[in-house]
Amino acid sequence: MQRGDESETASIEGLAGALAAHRPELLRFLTARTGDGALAEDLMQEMWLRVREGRPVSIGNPRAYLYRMAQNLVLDRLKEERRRMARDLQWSSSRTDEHGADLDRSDPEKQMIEDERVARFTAAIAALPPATGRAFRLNKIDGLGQAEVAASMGISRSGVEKHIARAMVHLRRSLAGED
Amino acid sequence: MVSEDHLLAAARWHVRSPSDDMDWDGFTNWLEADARHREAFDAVALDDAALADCRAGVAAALEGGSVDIARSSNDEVTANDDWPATGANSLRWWRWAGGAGAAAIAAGIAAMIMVPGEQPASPPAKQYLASDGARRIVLPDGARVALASGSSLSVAAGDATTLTLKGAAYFDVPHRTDRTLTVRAGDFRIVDLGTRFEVTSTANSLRVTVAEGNVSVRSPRLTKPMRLSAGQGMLALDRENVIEPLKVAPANVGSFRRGQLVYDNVPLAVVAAELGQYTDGRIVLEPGVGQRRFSGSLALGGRGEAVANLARLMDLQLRREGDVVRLSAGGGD
Repeated sequence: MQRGDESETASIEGLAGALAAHRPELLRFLTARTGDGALAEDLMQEMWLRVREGRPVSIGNPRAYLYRMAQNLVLDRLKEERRRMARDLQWSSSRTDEHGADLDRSDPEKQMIEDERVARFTAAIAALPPATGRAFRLNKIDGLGQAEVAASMGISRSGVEKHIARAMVHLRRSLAGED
Repeated sequence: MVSEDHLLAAARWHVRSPSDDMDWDGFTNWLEADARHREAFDAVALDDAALADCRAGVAAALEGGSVDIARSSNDEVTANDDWPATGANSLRWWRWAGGAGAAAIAAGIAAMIMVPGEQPASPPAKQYLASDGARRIVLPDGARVALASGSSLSVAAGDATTLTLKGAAYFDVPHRTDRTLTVRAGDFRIVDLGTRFEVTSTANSLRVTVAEGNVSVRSPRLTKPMRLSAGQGMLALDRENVIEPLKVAPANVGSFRRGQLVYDNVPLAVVAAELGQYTDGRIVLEPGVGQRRFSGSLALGGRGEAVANLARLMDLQLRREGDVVRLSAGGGD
Protein backbone atom coordinates (compact mmCIF):
# COMPACT_ATOMS: atom_id res chain seq x y z
CA MET A 1 0.00 0.00 0.00
CA GLN A 2 1.01 3.58 -0.29
CA ARG A 3 2.66 5.36 2.57
CA GLY A 4 -0.25 7.71 3.06
CA ASP A 5 -2.53 4.90 4.09
CA GLU A 6 -0.37 3.58 6.85
CA SER A 7 -1.40 6.29 9.27
CA GLU A 8 -4.93 4.93 9.38
CA THR A 9 -3.92 1.29 9.39
CA ALA A 10 -5.07 -0.71 12.39
CA SER A 11 -2.42 -3.06 13.65
CA ILE A 12 -3.45 -6.57 14.56
CA GLU A 13 -3.40 -5.70 18.26
CA GLY A 14 -5.49 -2.66 17.43
CA LEU A 15 -8.03 -4.77 15.62
CA ALA A 16 -8.26 -7.29 18.45
CA GLY A 17 -8.69 -4.37 20.82
CA ALA A 18 -11.44 -2.95 18.66
CA LEU A 19 -13.13 -6.35 18.60
CA ALA A 20 -13.02 -6.53 22.40
CA ALA A 21 -14.35 -2.99 22.69
CA HIS A 22 -17.22 -3.56 20.27
CA ARG A 23 -18.05 -7.13 21.23
CA PRO A 24 -21.46 -6.42 22.83
CA GLU A 25 -22.78 -4.42 19.91
CA LEU A 26 -21.35 -6.84 17.35
CA LEU A 27 -23.01 -9.74 19.13
CA ARG A 28 -26.27 -7.86 19.20
CA PHE A 29 -25.90 -7.16 15.50
CA LEU A 30 -25.09 -10.79 14.69
CA THR A 31 -28.11 -11.92 16.70
CA ALA A 32 -30.40 -9.51 14.88
CA ARG A 33 -28.88 -10.39 11.52
CA THR A 34 -29.19 -14.17 11.96
CA GLY A 35 -32.19 -14.35 14.31
CA ASP A 36 -30.26 -17.04 16.16
CA GLY A 37 -28.39 -16.31 19.39
CA ALA A 38 -26.34 -19.50 19.35
CA LEU A 39 -25.25 -18.99 15.77
CA ALA A 40 -24.34 -15.40 16.61
CA GLU A 41 -22.03 -16.68 19.37
CA ASP A 42 -20.41 -19.11 16.92
CA LEU A 43 -19.80 -16.37 14.42
CA MET A 44 -18.42 -14.12 17.13
CA GLN A 45 -15.95 -16.87 17.96
CA GLU A 46 -14.99 -17.12 14.32
CA MET A 47 -14.35 -13.41 14.23
CA TRP A 48 -11.90 -13.78 17.11
CA LEU A 49 -10.04 -16.46 15.19
CA ARG A 50 -9.92 -14.40 12.05
CA VAL A 51 -8.72 -11.31 13.79
CA ARG A 52 -6.05 -13.26 15.64
CA GLU A 53 -4.79 -15.16 12.63
CA GLY A 54 -5.28 -12.53 9.97
CA ARG A 55 -2.67 -9.95 9.16
CA PRO A 56 -4.52 -7.27 7.29
CA VAL A 57 -3.06 -3.92 6.43
CA SER A 58 -4.87 -0.77 5.49
CA ILE A 59 -7.92 -0.77 7.69
CA GLY A 60 -9.35 2.71 7.71
CA ASN A 61 -12.11 2.25 10.25
CA PRO A 62 -11.77 -0.83 12.48
CA ARG A 63 -15.36 -0.73 13.74
CA ALA A 64 -16.83 -0.58 10.23
CA TYR A 65 -14.34 -3.25 9.16
CA LEU A 66 -15.49 -5.57 11.96
CA TYR A 67 -19.14 -5.02 11.11
CA ARG A 68 -18.44 -5.84 7.49
CA MET A 69 -16.56 -8.94 8.54
CA ALA A 70 -19.57 -10.00 10.62
CA GLN A 71 -21.89 -9.23 7.73
CA ASN A 72 -19.78 -11.36 5.36
CA LEU A 73 -19.65 -14.28 7.77
CA VAL A 74 -23.44 -14.29 7.93
CA LEU A 75 -23.62 -14.17 4.15
CA ASP A 76 -21.22 -17.11 3.85
CA ARG A 77 -23.41 -19.16 6.18
CA LEU A 78 -26.47 -18.17 4.24
CA LYS A 79 -24.94 -19.18 0.92
CA GLU A 80 -23.84 -22.49 2.37
CA GLU A 81 -27.35 -23.12 3.63
CA ARG A 82 -28.91 -22.29 0.27
CA ARG A 83 -26.48 -24.56 -1.50
CA ARG A 84 -27.44 -27.38 0.79
CA MET A 85 -31.12 -26.68 0.22
CA ALA A 86 -30.58 -26.67 -3.52
CA ARG A 87 -28.83 -30.02 -3.27
CA ASP A 88 -31.70 -31.48 -1.29
CA LEU A 89 -34.19 -30.14 -3.80
CA GLN A 90 -32.26 -31.54 -6.70
CA TRP A 91 -34.13 -34.82 -6.52
CA SER A 92 -37.59 -33.39 -6.27
CA SER A 93 -37.33 -30.60 -8.80
CA SER A 94 -35.82 -30.22 -12.22
CA ARG A 95 -35.10 -26.57 -11.64
CA THR A 96 -32.68 -24.95 -9.30
CA ASP A 97 -33.34 -21.74 -7.43
CA GLU A 98 -31.60 -18.66 -8.68
CA HIS A 99 -28.82 -19.02 -6.18
CA GLY A 100 -28.40 -22.74 -6.62
CA ALA A 101 -25.03 -22.88 -8.27
CA ASP A 102 -24.69 -26.43 -7.15
CA LEU A 103 -21.08 -27.29 -7.68
CA ASP A 104 -21.50 -30.96 -7.02
CA ARG A 105 -23.25 -31.49 -10.29
CA SER A 106 -21.74 -32.70 -13.52
CA ASP A 107 -19.82 -30.20 -15.62
CA PRO A 108 -22.32 -29.74 -18.47
CA GLU A 109 -25.12 -29.33 -15.98
CA LYS A 110 -23.09 -26.87 -13.93
CA GLN A 111 -22.38 -24.94 -17.10
CA MET A 112 -26.05 -24.93 -18.01
CA ILE A 113 -27.07 -23.60 -14.62
CA GLU A 114 -24.35 -20.98 -14.78
CA ASP A 115 -25.43 -19.91 -18.28
CA GLU A 116 -29.01 -19.67 -17.18
CA ARG A 117 -28.07 -17.57 -14.19
CA VAL A 118 -26.03 -15.23 -16.38
CA ALA A 119 -28.93 -14.94 -18.85
CA ARG A 120 -31.42 -14.10 -16.12
CA PHE A 121 -29.23 -11.44 -14.56
CA THR A 122 -28.43 -10.00 -17.98
CA ALA A 123 -32.09 -9.76 -18.96
CA ALA A 124 -33.05 -8.28 -15.59
CA ILE A 125 -30.29 -5.65 -15.75
CA ALA A 126 -31.07 -4.78 -19.37
CA ALA A 127 -34.70 -4.15 -18.40
CA LEU A 128 -33.84 -1.57 -15.71
CA PRO A 129 -34.88 2.05 -16.30
CA PRO A 130 -31.98 3.83 -18.08
CA ALA A 131 -30.44 5.93 -15.29
CA THR A 132 -30.97 3.20 -12.70
CA GLY A 133 -29.45 0.65 -15.03
CA ARG A 134 -26.46 2.82 -15.73
CA ALA A 135 -25.71 3.48 -12.07
CA PHE A 136 -26.14 -0.20 -11.30
CA ARG A 137 -23.92 -1.36 -14.13
CA LEU A 138 -21.14 1.08 -13.41
CA ASN A 139 -21.12 -0.06 -9.78
CA LYS A 140 -21.83 -3.79 -9.95
CA ILE A 141 -20.50 -4.75 -13.38
CA ASP A 142 -17.70 -2.27 -14.04
CA GLY A 143 -16.66 -2.19 -10.40
CA LEU A 144 -16.68 1.56 -9.83
CA GLY A 145 -17.12 2.80 -6.28
CA GLN A 146 -20.33 4.67 -5.53
CA ALA A 147 -18.48 8.00 -5.37
CA GLU A 148 -17.04 7.39 -8.82
CA VAL A 149 -20.45 6.48 -10.18
CA ALA A 150 -21.79 9.73 -8.73
CA ALA A 151 -18.98 11.70 -10.38
CA SER A 152 -19.36 10.00 -13.73
CA MET A 153 -23.13 10.50 -13.80
CA GLY A 154 -23.03 13.99 -12.34
CA ILE A 155 -25.45 13.12 -9.54
CA SER A 156 -25.18 13.00 -5.76
CA ARG A 157 -23.92 10.05 -3.80
CA SER A 158 -27.34 9.50 -2.27
CA GLY A 159 -28.83 9.61 -5.76
CA VAL A 160 -26.52 6.73 -6.67
CA GLU A 161 -27.57 4.81 -3.56
CA LYS A 162 -31.21 5.23 -4.49
CA HIS A 163 -30.63 4.02 -8.04
CA ILE A 164 -28.73 0.96 -6.92
CA ALA A 165 -31.24 0.11 -4.21
CA ARG A 166 -34.09 0.45 -6.68
CA ALA A 167 -32.21 -1.73 -9.16
CA MET A 168 -31.80 -4.44 -6.56
CA VAL A 169 -35.52 -4.46 -5.86
CA HIS A 170 -36.24 -4.73 -9.60
CA LEU A 171 -33.76 -7.56 -9.84
CA ARG A 172 -35.33 -9.45 -6.96
CA ARG A 173 -38.75 -9.04 -8.55
CA SER A 174 -37.65 -10.22 -11.93
CA LEU A 175 -35.63 -13.16 -10.61
CA ALA A 176 -38.53 -14.24 -8.39
CA GLY A 177 -41.01 -13.80 -11.24
CA GLU A 178 -39.20 -16.37 -13.34
CA ASP A 179 -39.38 -19.09 -10.75
CA MET B 1 -43.62 -13.07 0.08
CA VAL B 2 -41.33 -10.22 0.93
CA SER B 3 -43.03 -6.85 0.64
CA GLU B 4 -41.81 -4.15 -1.72
CA ASP B 5 -41.25 -1.68 1.14
CA HIS B 6 -39.15 -4.11 3.12
CA LEU B 7 -37.11 -4.97 0.05
CA LEU B 8 -36.41 -1.35 -0.75
CA ALA B 9 -35.38 -0.60 2.82
CA ALA B 10 -33.18 -3.73 2.82
CA ALA B 11 -31.57 -2.72 -0.46
CA ARG B 12 -30.81 0.75 0.91
CA TRP B 13 -29.06 -0.72 3.94
CA HIS B 14 -27.21 -3.11 1.71
CA VAL B 15 -26.02 -0.38 -0.63
CA ARG B 16 -24.67 1.65 2.28
CA SER B 17 -22.93 -1.17 4.08
CA PRO B 18 -19.59 -1.05 2.21
CA SER B 19 -19.17 2.56 3.27
CA ASP B 20 -17.27 3.50 6.40
CA ASP B 21 -20.07 5.85 7.41
CA MET B 22 -22.73 3.12 7.38
CA ASP B 23 -25.09 3.51 10.33
CA TRP B 24 -24.65 0.07 11.84
CA ASP B 25 -26.68 0.94 14.95
CA GLY B 26 -29.58 2.03 12.79
CA PHE B 27 -29.27 -1.14 10.73
CA THR B 28 -29.30 -3.31 13.87
CA ASN B 29 -32.40 -1.48 15.13
CA TRP B 30 -34.10 -1.97 11.78
CA LEU B 31 -33.33 -5.71 11.82
CA GLU B 32 -34.64 -6.05 15.38
CA ALA B 33 -37.85 -4.19 14.59
CA ASP B 34 -39.38 -6.93 12.44
CA ALA B 35 -38.22 -10.46 11.55
CA ARG B 36 -39.35 -9.88 7.97
CA HIS B 37 -36.65 -7.26 7.62
CA ARG B 38 -34.04 -9.95 7.99
CA GLU B 39 -35.74 -12.05 5.36
CA ALA B 40 -35.77 -9.13 2.93
CA PHE B 41 -32.12 -8.40 3.61
CA ASP B 42 -31.16 -12.05 3.08
CA ALA B 43 -32.83 -11.99 -0.33
CA VAL B 44 -31.04 -8.82 -1.41
CA ALA B 45 -27.64 -9.93 -0.09
CA LEU B 46 -27.95 -13.32 -1.81
CA ASP B 47 -28.88 -11.70 -5.12
CA ASP B 48 -25.89 -9.43 -4.86
CA ALA B 49 -23.57 -12.34 -4.05
CA ALA B 50 -24.98 -14.40 -6.91
CA LEU B 51 -24.43 -11.52 -9.31
CA ALA B 52 -20.88 -11.05 -8.06
CA ASP B 53 -20.22 -14.74 -8.71
CA CYS B 54 -21.22 -14.51 -12.34
CA ARG B 55 -20.26 -10.92 -12.97
CA ALA B 56 -17.74 -11.68 -15.72
CA GLY B 57 -20.37 -13.62 -17.67
CA VAL B 58 -22.98 -10.90 -17.23
CA ALA B 59 -20.46 -8.24 -18.20
CA ALA B 60 -19.62 -10.10 -21.39
CA ALA B 61 -23.28 -10.58 -22.20
CA LEU B 62 -24.09 -6.93 -21.59
CA GLU B 63 -21.03 -5.46 -23.25
CA GLY B 64 -21.52 -4.87 -26.90
CA GLY B 65 -20.02 -1.40 -26.50
CA SER B 66 -16.93 -2.33 -24.50
CA VAL B 67 -14.59 -1.46 -27.35
CA ASP B 68 -14.89 2.26 -26.88
CA ILE B 69 -14.35 2.08 -23.17
CA ALA B 70 -11.26 -0.05 -23.64
CA ARG B 71 -9.79 2.30 -26.20
CA SER B 72 -10.45 5.30 -24.02
CA SER B 73 -8.61 3.73 -21.10
CA ASN B 74 -5.67 3.08 -23.35
CA ASP B 75 -5.46 6.67 -24.55
CA GLU B 76 -5.62 7.90 -21.04
CA VAL B 77 -2.87 5.58 -19.92
CA THR B 78 -0.37 6.65 -22.55
CA ALA B 79 -1.05 10.25 -21.69
CA ASN B 80 -0.23 9.73 -18.02
CA ASP B 81 2.82 7.61 -17.81
CA ASP B 82 3.79 8.75 -14.35
CA TRP B 83 0.43 8.11 -12.68
CA PRO B 84 -0.46 11.27 -10.80
CA ALA B 85 -1.30 10.26 -7.26
CA THR B 86 -4.73 11.82 -7.10
CA GLY B 87 -8.14 10.42 -7.78
CA ALA B 88 -8.54 12.84 -10.68
CA ASN B 89 -6.94 10.37 -13.01
CA SER B 90 -9.55 7.68 -12.82
CA LEU B 91 -12.27 10.27 -12.45
CA ARG B 92 -11.53 11.78 -15.81
CA TRP B 93 -11.64 8.43 -17.44
CA TRP B 94 -14.99 7.58 -15.99
CA ARG B 95 -16.49 10.95 -16.69
CA TRP B 96 -15.90 10.03 -20.26
CA ALA B 97 -17.76 6.80 -19.69
CA GLY B 98 -20.69 8.92 -18.63
CA GLY B 99 -20.79 10.49 -22.08
CA ALA B 100 -20.16 8.29 -25.07
CA GLY B 101 -20.15 5.18 -22.91
CA ALA B 102 -23.68 5.88 -21.80
CA ALA B 103 -24.75 6.01 -25.42
CA ALA B 104 -23.01 2.72 -26.09
CA ILE B 105 -24.65 1.18 -23.04
CA ALA B 106 -28.05 2.56 -24.02
CA ALA B 107 -27.58 1.20 -27.53
CA GLY B 108 -26.70 -2.19 -26.11
CA ILE B 109 -29.84 -2.24 -24.02
CA ALA B 110 -32.00 -1.15 -26.94
CA ALA B 111 -30.56 -3.91 -29.11
CA MET B 112 -31.26 -6.48 -26.44
CA ILE B 113 -34.83 -5.39 -25.97
CA MET B 114 -35.50 -5.63 -29.67
CA VAL B 115 -34.36 -9.22 -29.96
CA PRO B 116 -35.75 -10.92 -26.89
CA GLY B 117 -34.64 -14.45 -26.34
CA GLU B 118 -31.45 -14.06 -28.30
CA GLN B 119 -28.00 -13.82 -26.85
CA PRO B 120 -26.76 -10.24 -27.21
CA ALA B 121 -23.99 -9.78 -29.74
CA SER B 122 -21.13 -9.68 -27.28
CA PRO B 123 -18.25 -11.80 -28.45
CA PRO B 124 -14.85 -10.35 -27.70
CA ALA B 125 -12.58 -10.30 -30.72
CA LYS B 126 -10.91 -13.40 -29.44
CA GLN B 127 -11.03 -15.62 -26.44
CA TYR B 128 -8.30 -18.04 -25.48
CA LEU B 129 -9.10 -20.97 -23.22
CA ALA B 130 -6.64 -23.31 -21.61
CA SER B 131 -9.03 -26.10 -20.83
CA ASP B 132 -6.51 -28.87 -20.47
CA GLY B 133 -2.99 -27.89 -19.54
CA ALA B 134 -1.18 -24.57 -19.79
CA ARG B 135 -1.15 -22.81 -23.12
CA ARG B 136 1.20 -20.37 -24.79
CA ILE B 137 -0.15 -17.44 -26.73
CA VAL B 138 1.61 -14.81 -28.78
CA LEU B 139 -0.48 -11.66 -29.11
CA PRO B 140 -0.44 -9.72 -32.38
CA ASP B 141 1.90 -7.06 -30.99
CA GLY B 142 4.47 -9.56 -29.80
CA ALA B 143 3.50 -9.92 -26.14
CA ARG B 144 3.81 -13.50 -24.99
CA VAL B 145 1.37 -15.04 -22.55
CA ALA B 146 1.41 -18.35 -20.71
CA LEU B 147 -2.17 -19.13 -19.76
CA ALA B 148 -2.60 -21.54 -16.86
CA SER B 149 -4.76 -24.60 -17.17
CA GLY B 150 -8.41 -23.81 -16.52
CA SER B 151 -7.98 -20.11 -17.27
CA SER B 152 -9.28 -17.86 -19.99
CA LEU B 153 -8.07 -14.66 -21.60
CA SER B 154 -10.15 -12.45 -23.86
CA VAL B 155 -8.95 -9.73 -26.14
CA ALA B 156 -11.35 -6.80 -26.58
CA ALA B 157 -12.80 -6.42 -30.05
CA GLY B 158 -10.83 -3.85 -31.98
CA ASP B 159 -8.29 -3.29 -29.24
CA ALA B 160 -5.60 -5.89 -28.83
CA THR B 161 -4.08 -4.06 -25.86
CA THR B 162 -6.98 -4.67 -23.48
CA LEU B 163 -7.16 -8.19 -22.10
CA THR B 164 -9.59 -9.70 -19.64
CA LEU B 165 -8.31 -12.54 -17.50
CA LYS B 166 -10.08 -15.23 -15.52
CA GLY B 167 -7.65 -17.47 -13.70
CA ALA B 168 -3.88 -17.26 -13.94
CA ALA B 169 -1.49 -16.05 -16.60
CA TYR B 170 2.13 -14.99 -16.96
CA PHE B 171 2.82 -12.05 -19.25
CA ASP B 172 6.05 -11.23 -21.02
CA VAL B 173 5.60 -7.89 -22.71
CA PRO B 174 8.35 -6.13 -24.64
CA HIS B 175 8.48 -2.43 -23.93
CA ARG B 176 7.02 -0.23 -26.62
CA THR B 177 6.45 3.49 -26.43
CA ASP B 178 3.38 3.44 -28.61
CA ARG B 179 1.20 1.22 -26.50
CA THR B 180 0.53 -0.13 -23.03
CA LEU B 181 -1.10 -3.40 -22.27
CA THR B 182 -3.98 -3.48 -19.80
CA VAL B 183 -5.09 -6.67 -18.09
CA ARG B 184 -8.51 -6.49 -16.50
CA ALA B 185 -9.31 -8.88 -13.67
CA GLY B 186 -12.36 -8.26 -11.54
CA ASP B 187 -12.44 -4.59 -10.69
CA PHE B 188 -8.68 -4.24 -11.05
CA ARG B 189 -6.69 -3.13 -14.05
CA ILE B 190 -3.07 -4.06 -14.30
CA VAL B 191 -1.29 -1.72 -16.65
CA ASP B 192 1.98 -2.94 -17.97
CA LEU B 193 4.88 -0.75 -18.92
CA GLY B 194 7.08 -3.37 -20.57
CA THR B 195 7.72 -6.21 -18.17
CA ARG B 196 7.21 -9.77 -17.01
CA PHE B 197 4.51 -10.43 -14.45
CA GLU B 198 1.87 -12.89 -13.29
CA VAL B 199 -1.77 -12.26 -12.52
CA THR B 200 -4.01 -14.80 -10.79
CA SER B 201 -7.64 -13.95 -10.22
CA THR B 202 -10.24 -16.07 -8.47
CA ALA B 203 -13.81 -15.29 -7.51
CA ASN B 204 -12.65 -13.60 -4.30
CA SER B 205 -9.03 -12.65 -4.75
CA LEU B 206 -6.47 -11.14 -7.03
CA ARG B 207 -2.72 -11.72 -6.84
CA VAL B 208 -0.22 -9.81 -8.97
CA THR B 209 3.53 -10.48 -8.86
CA VAL B 210 6.26 -8.86 -10.92
CA ALA B 211 9.45 -10.54 -12.17
CA GLU B 212 10.89 -7.67 -14.15
CA GLY B 213 10.04 -4.05 -14.95
CA ASN B 214 7.02 -2.26 -13.51
CA VAL B 215 3.27 -2.57 -13.56
CA SER B 216 0.66 -0.18 -12.30
CA VAL B 217 -2.42 -1.58 -10.58
CA ARG B 218 -5.54 0.51 -10.67
CA SER B 219 -8.95 -0.02 -9.18
CA PRO B 220 -11.88 1.93 -7.81
CA ARG B 221 -10.87 0.26 -4.57
CA LEU B 222 -7.50 2.00 -4.52
CA THR B 223 -7.22 5.69 -3.76
CA LYS B 224 -4.31 5.90 -6.15
CA PRO B 225 -2.62 3.50 -8.55
CA MET B 226 -0.16 1.07 -6.99
CA ARG B 227 3.14 0.74 -8.73
CA LEU B 228 4.84 -2.63 -8.41
CA SER B 229 8.37 -3.39 -9.51
CA ALA B 230 10.43 -6.56 -9.76
CA GLY B 231 10.21 -8.64 -6.59
CA GLN B 232 7.02 -6.95 -5.48
CA GLY B 233 3.42 -8.00 -5.59
CA MET B 234 -0.01 -7.34 -4.20
CA LEU B 235 -2.87 -9.43 -2.92
CA ALA B 236 -6.47 -8.20 -2.87
CA LEU B 237 -9.03 -10.05 -0.81
CA ASP B 238 -12.49 -9.04 -2.01
CA ARG B 239 -14.41 -10.44 0.91
CA GLU B 240 -12.41 -8.60 3.54
CA ASN B 241 -11.88 -5.59 1.31
CA VAL B 242 -8.20 -5.71 2.15
CA ILE B 243 -5.21 -5.14 -0.08
CA GLU B 244 -1.78 -6.18 1.11
CA PRO B 245 1.70 -6.08 -0.36
CA LEU B 246 3.56 -9.29 -1.23
CA LYS B 247 7.20 -10.08 -1.63
CA VAL B 248 8.20 -12.52 -4.30
CA ALA B 249 11.36 -14.04 -5.68
CA PRO B 250 11.36 -13.00 -9.36
CA ALA B 251 12.24 -16.57 -10.36
CA ASN B 252 8.97 -17.75 -8.81
CA VAL B 253 6.76 -15.43 -10.81
CA GLY B 254 4.77 -17.53 -13.26
CA SER B 255 5.98 -20.75 -11.65
CA PHE B 256 2.81 -22.54 -12.78
CA ARG B 257 4.55 -22.83 -16.15
CA ARG B 258 6.79 -25.47 -14.65
CA GLY B 259 3.94 -27.09 -12.78
CA GLN B 260 4.47 -25.42 -9.45
CA LEU B 261 2.62 -22.92 -7.30
CA VAL B 262 4.89 -20.97 -4.96
CA TYR B 263 3.55 -18.90 -2.08
CA ASP B 264 5.03 -16.69 0.57
CA ASN B 265 2.71 -15.96 3.47
CA VAL B 266 -0.56 -16.10 1.53
CA PRO B 267 -3.90 -16.91 3.23
CA LEU B 268 -5.06 -20.49 2.70
CA ALA B 269 -8.35 -19.21 1.34
CA VAL B 270 -6.45 -17.72 -1.58
CA VAL B 271 -4.19 -20.75 -2.04
CA ALA B 272 -7.23 -23.04 -2.08
CA ALA B 273 -9.10 -20.84 -4.54
CA GLU B 274 -6.12 -20.67 -6.89
CA LEU B 275 -5.50 -24.38 -6.59
CA GLY B 276 -9.18 -24.97 -7.29
CA GLN B 277 -8.67 -23.59 -10.78
CA TYR B 278 -6.42 -26.48 -11.64
CA THR B 279 -8.66 -29.23 -10.34
CA ASP B 280 -12.08 -30.50 -11.29
CA GLY B 281 -13.45 -30.70 -7.81
CA ARG B 282 -14.08 -28.06 -5.25
CA ILE B 283 -11.90 -27.31 -2.25
CA VAL B 284 -13.87 -26.29 0.82
CA LEU B 285 -12.15 -24.86 3.87
CA GLU B 286 -13.82 -25.31 7.23
CA PRO B 287 -14.30 -22.11 9.23
CA GLY B 288 -11.12 -20.54 10.53
CA VAL B 289 -8.77 -22.46 8.25
CA GLY B 290 -8.89 -19.92 5.41
CA GLN B 291 -7.14 -17.24 7.44
CA ARG B 292 -4.04 -19.33 8.07
CA ARG B 293 -1.01 -18.40 6.04
CA PHE B 294 0.89 -20.70 3.75
CA SER B 295 4.48 -20.42 2.62
CA GLY B 296 5.92 -23.06 0.36
CA SER B 297 5.52 -24.65 -3.01
CA LEU B 298 2.98 -27.11 -4.33
CA ALA B 299 3.55 -29.37 -7.32
CA LEU B 300 0.65 -29.48 -9.73
CA GLY B 301 1.13 -33.17 -10.31
CA GLY B 302 -1.49 -35.84 -10.62
CA ARG B 303 -5.05 -35.45 -9.57
CA GLY B 304 -5.48 -34.07 -6.09
CA GLU B 305 -1.80 -34.32 -5.30
CA ALA B 306 -1.31 -30.62 -4.64
CA VAL B 307 -4.18 -30.34 -2.23
CA ALA B 308 -3.00 -33.44 -0.37
CA ASN B 309 0.45 -31.87 -0.05
CA LEU B 310 -1.07 -28.64 1.15
CA ALA B 311 -3.01 -30.50 3.83
CA ARG B 312 0.12 -32.31 4.96
CA LEU B 313 2.27 -29.18 5.05
CA MET B 314 -0.34 -27.23 6.97
CA ASP B 315 -1.33 -30.11 9.26
CA LEU B 316 -4.90 -30.10 8.05
CA GLN B 317 -7.35 -32.93 7.94
CA LEU B 318 -8.46 -33.81 4.42
CA ARG B 319 -11.82 -35.37 3.65
CA ARG B 320 -13.11 -36.23 0.19
CA GLU B 321 -16.83 -36.26 -0.49
CA GLY B 322 -17.45 -36.94 -4.14
CA ASP B 323 -15.47 -34.28 -5.96
CA VAL B 324 -15.47 -32.00 -2.94
CA VAL B 325 -12.34 -31.87 -0.81
CA ARG B 326 -12.78 -30.53 2.71
CA LEU B 327 -9.89 -29.21 4.72
CA SER B 328 -10.31 -28.74 8.43
CA ALA B 329 -8.05 -27.97 11.37
CA GLY B 330 -6.29 -30.57 13.49
CA GLY B 331 -5.28 -33.37 11.19
CA GLY B 332 -2.19 -35.57 11.42
CA ASP B 333 -2.09 -36.98 14.92
